[in-house]
Amino acid sequence: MSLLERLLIRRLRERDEVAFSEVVRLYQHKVYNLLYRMIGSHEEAEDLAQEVFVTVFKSIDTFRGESKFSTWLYRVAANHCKNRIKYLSRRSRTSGDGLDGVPEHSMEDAGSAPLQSHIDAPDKILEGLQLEKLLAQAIASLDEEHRLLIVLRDVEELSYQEIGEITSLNEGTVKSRLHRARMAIKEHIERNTK
Amino acid sequence: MTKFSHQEAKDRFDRYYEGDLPAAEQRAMDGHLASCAECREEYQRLVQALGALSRLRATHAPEGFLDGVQGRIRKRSRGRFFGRRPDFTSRLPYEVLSVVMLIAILAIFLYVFLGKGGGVIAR
Repeated sequence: MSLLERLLIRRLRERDEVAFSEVVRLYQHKVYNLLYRMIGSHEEAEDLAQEVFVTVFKSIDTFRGESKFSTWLYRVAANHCKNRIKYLSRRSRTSGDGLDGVPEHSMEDAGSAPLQSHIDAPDKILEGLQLEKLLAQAIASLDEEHRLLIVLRDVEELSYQEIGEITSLNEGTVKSRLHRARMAIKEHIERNTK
Repeated sequence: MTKFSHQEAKDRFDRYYEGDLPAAEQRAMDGHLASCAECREEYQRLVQALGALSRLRATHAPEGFLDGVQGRIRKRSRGRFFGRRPDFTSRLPYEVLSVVMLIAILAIFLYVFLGKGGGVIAR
């Protein structure tokens, strides 16, 4: 942990409002992007990201400085997100909506028409919004554990060591689960393109 | 030299992509992909998918996000923004109150007693 980070943590522990604002400004986009890619809904991502920062401020005394602050922050975000995905999934099953067990609202940005109907050819979709929609749907089709690994490694491009610290999994487990998740993403794209 | 079956090669696709295989396995994968069109195509599809994931546009927190967080914290901390509160504000300071009450009772008793006593002495 850098000296600047240590000073910032100390100010956070003193409940310094300026330090809180600094932390939010520094990390809001990273946390928001992680949550949006995990959940696929801007509304849910914003609500959840605010909850993450509230938790950080409330629980800063439990941060022991054994990892980087950003790693701890990601861990808080990941835990919130997994709980929200489970909750939304349960709610979706209870109300009978959603698509293949995926919460309906998590697909809000993935488009409503069947993908086959508006995707022209695999080579043409490799750029642009249609591919982004397809990827969002592919990520949403994974369970929360695999989703988290894909987002942390392939979207956020974190190291295996950081991912291990965030998820409390050893490197071998991270790699084997990531392999399954990547294959599932690839197969989802293959199934949904002509 | 190590040779991989199709399945063995597929099992190593993403580690090959990350350059995470031991040198001998890396060479065996090179050889397999050079000679197997089916695995080569499948590997290319994986590379395209992973490349697309890494190129996903970063999304940003909306305008006013900080205000939203601060508002939520202020609301839950009833306006104190999670500031440290002295312990006695969380409940009535019964210890202090009881001492004050005792002193007050003693003072009244002494006032009445001495007042009467003083009156007696004066008479």
